[in-house]
This record gives sequence, structure tokens and C-alpha cells, in this order.
Amino acid sequence: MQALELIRRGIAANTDIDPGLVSIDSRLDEIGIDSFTLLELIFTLEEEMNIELGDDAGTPETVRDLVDILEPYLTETQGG
Amino acid sequence: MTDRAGQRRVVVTGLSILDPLGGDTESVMTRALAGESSIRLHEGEDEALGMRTPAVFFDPVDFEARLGKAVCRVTDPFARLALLAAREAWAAAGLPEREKTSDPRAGVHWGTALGGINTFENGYRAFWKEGRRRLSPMSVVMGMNNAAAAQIGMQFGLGGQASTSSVACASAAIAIGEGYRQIRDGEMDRMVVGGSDLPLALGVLRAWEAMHMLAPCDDAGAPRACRPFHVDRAGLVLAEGAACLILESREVAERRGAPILAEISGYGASNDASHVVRPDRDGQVRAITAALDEAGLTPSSVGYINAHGTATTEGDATEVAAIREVFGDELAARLPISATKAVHGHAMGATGAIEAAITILALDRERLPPTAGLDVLDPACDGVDHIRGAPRKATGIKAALSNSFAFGGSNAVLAFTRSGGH
Repeated sequence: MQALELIRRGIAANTDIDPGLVSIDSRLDEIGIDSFTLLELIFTLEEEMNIELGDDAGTPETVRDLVDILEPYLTETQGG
Repeated sequence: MTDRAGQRRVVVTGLSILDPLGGDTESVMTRALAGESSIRLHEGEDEALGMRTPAVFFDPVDFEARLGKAVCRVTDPFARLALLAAREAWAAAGLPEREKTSDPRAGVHWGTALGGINTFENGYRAFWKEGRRRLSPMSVVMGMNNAAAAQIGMQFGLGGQASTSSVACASAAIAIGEGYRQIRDGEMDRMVVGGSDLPLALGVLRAWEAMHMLAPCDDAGAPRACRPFHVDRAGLVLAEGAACLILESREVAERRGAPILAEISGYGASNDASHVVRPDRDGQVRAITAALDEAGLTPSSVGYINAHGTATTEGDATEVAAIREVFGDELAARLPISATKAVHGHAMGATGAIEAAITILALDRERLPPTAGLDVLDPACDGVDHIRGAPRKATGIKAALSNSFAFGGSNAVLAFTRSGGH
């Protein structure tokens, strides 16, 4: 799954969290990503994917929430 | 344990000076005593605007390995240097890693002239040179001038206070002085004090150049570019740097069996209130006198002054004149003085902490560093006992001063007394 890999890479780039411990069901707060770190993670993903989520980013609580936010953009990119 | 008027005594229990050449506090002090310079030729990265200048700068530091990614992603290099300096000083003071709860009787007062300037400069570069349209959401917390104090406070659980002084070249000296006062007055038991700065940002470097304040570039001569009190001195040398002191009330330090390097016995601050850059002898006299008075020191009991000595024509001569005024010509002529900026450069808001730390180590070891490269003294700087060549033995030295005089007219003088003395 491409979105999960992007998230793992973003986590590896921004935090000291072992990306191997990040699964689709992980709760962000439980793996050590607070709202402040999430802000940076989303910015990194936006830069990587060349998108701007704006309010679409919402307030994801799990890695799955984040995957759901990113996937439409990945499909768009692939389709376009 | 109190002093005059019931004021508490304040001691230094740990210190650090980061070594831009990759060593440690000890290697910085060894080079200061030997008169070995850390100044090298700095070549700017920007092809059109970069400039070659003598400077002191860190070889690439692997911040991520030493501080972790999480800290590095939210900090400007000035806060990272601050954290490294504070960690080293904290460990030297024999203090444990932070407790779960923060200590409301402990705080931090940090000095920086330029703070997160590199973060903001990178932002401008991203917009105007790289054509980017957004900045990292971390930019605010990276760039804010109190970021170093905040990070240090979190690192060690300092729950009492986190303050920042930004007073140009006197920033760190004032941070140390204000931290000392808080312990002296009973508000705090322990303070982490010092300063950090990285003034080689292109806009800063070019600003100093525009003032014609920088020592000229000379490939072979870079290490000797900063020449305080020298007849041929030609300006200051910008330096990256950080240094930290751990201050504690003597009672608290003795109770925990801490190493005591020196006592801060006085702090004198004054303002020239006359000219934004021209140093004022009388303003400096007021600061030196205030430090001596507070320390209860007579002029004859001072055995060393670490001068501000930036190697500008007017600044060095004015400082010597101020010292002669306070001590009188007879005592001044026998008063050992040196300006260690000749070897560590001018680290702006950090320089007062670097020089305070060198002064404390000199006092503790009874060995005084020279003004490196001072082979021909400017007659306008005569009248004090300039330490030249080899380090000076100072057996039985009781007290020493560290001077810091800033653009804007702010002056700060710290008085240190040998830990067994007073």
C-alpha cells in the first residue's frame, strides 16, 4: 500500500519512532505522534506528494485515517 | 548560607564550552592557554553574495545522532548548540537526568543576539531563491528567540523560569548575571545560564561587512586575523559558539557535595546612554565598579580581567582607559589582562558565556590565557599588564572579572572569586 509506505517514510524522517512499528491500525497518539508532530508529518507528506490538503486533512486519529486522507490524491496522481 | 544583607552566595558547579573544532571544553581551554586560534577561512556558499572571511565555525555536527530527529525537526541550530552545551555542563555539575516532575526552584536564563536567524533566512531563501510557496509549520518554534531556553527547560525539568536576554554582545553575560541575581535573592536554587549564536547567516555577515567592522580576509593569516590591543588590529572575527554555566546557591551545592569551580561574587550592569556604537569609558567604569562593589572586592584583590577586547580600534582603547580609571594607573599597570577573542572569535550573544567559562577555569587552575598574537602593542592600549606569549602562572589569585560591552551601550561585568576564597 503506497500511502502507508509514504507515512512510514514521513515518520522516519521526522521522528525517532521506529517505522517498523507503524501499522495500519496504529493509533497516532499511541505510537508517539501528538498533534504538533502530526502537523509536521502532514506537511512532509504534502511536500512529498506535491499537494495541499488544507481542511481535507481533518483530524486523523489512526494511521488508517491518514491513509484514507491520502489515497484519493494518490489515485488522482496515478490516474492523471 | 548568606552574605551581606542576607543575600545568598552563588557558586558555579559545572560549565561547558562547545569546541567548534570537534573537541570539548578541555580542548578549548588548552588552546586558549596556548594561544592557539580556532579561526579559519570561511567561504560562503552563495556564489554571487558569499564572501571569504576569517571566522570560527563548527565542522558539521551530527545533531541527529546527538539529539535525535524529534528534537532536530523543531529546533534551529542555535537551540541545538544550546542543548549540547547545557547537557555537558549539567553532567559536569554531577546532576542527574531530569526527574519526572519539574523543579519549581530551578530555571534557565539564556543569551542570544541572533536567535533563530538561520531559520528565517532559510525561509526567505526558500521563497525568493527556490520559488517555494510554503514554510514548514515548525518555523515559528524553531525561529523564536526563546527556543533555546525552552528546550533547555524541557530537557532538565526546569519549572521555575525560562528567560532569554538578547542584548547584542552582552547577551550571555547579562543572562549569567540575571540568573545569578535570582539565586542570590532567593527566588531560585539552581539556574542554567549561558548563550549560543550562529552569526554567519549571509544577511548578518554582510551587515557586519557593511559597517567595516570585520577583520580583513587573508588566506594564510586567518588564524591571526583577530588581534586585540595590537597596533595593527583591524576588526572583529565572527564566531559560532555556545557555552553554559550551572549556577547554584552555595548551600544547595554543598549539601549535595557538588564540585565548586568558583563563586560568582558580583555582577555590574550599566548603560552608556550616549551612542549606539561608540563605546563610552564612563559607562564601562560604572559596570566594572558596580561588579567590584557588589563582590566586596578591592581593586588590589583582582588578579585577572578577561577583556571584552574585540580588536576594534576604538573599543580596545576605550576598555583599557576604563580599567585604568577604575584601578588607577599604578594598580592597572600590574593587572594581568587578556582578550581571548583572538583565539575563539566573537560569538556575539554567546561570547560572554565563553569568556566567563574561560575566566572561571583560569581562576580555578591559577593559569591565565594570553592575548594571542600580541607582538606589537598599540600605545593607546598601554597601561595594563597585557599577558603575551605563554600563559601566566597566577598562584594565589583571588578574583577575576569578565567584561562584556555591547553595541547599543549595554555593559555587563561579572566578578568571580576562587571557591575557597572571599
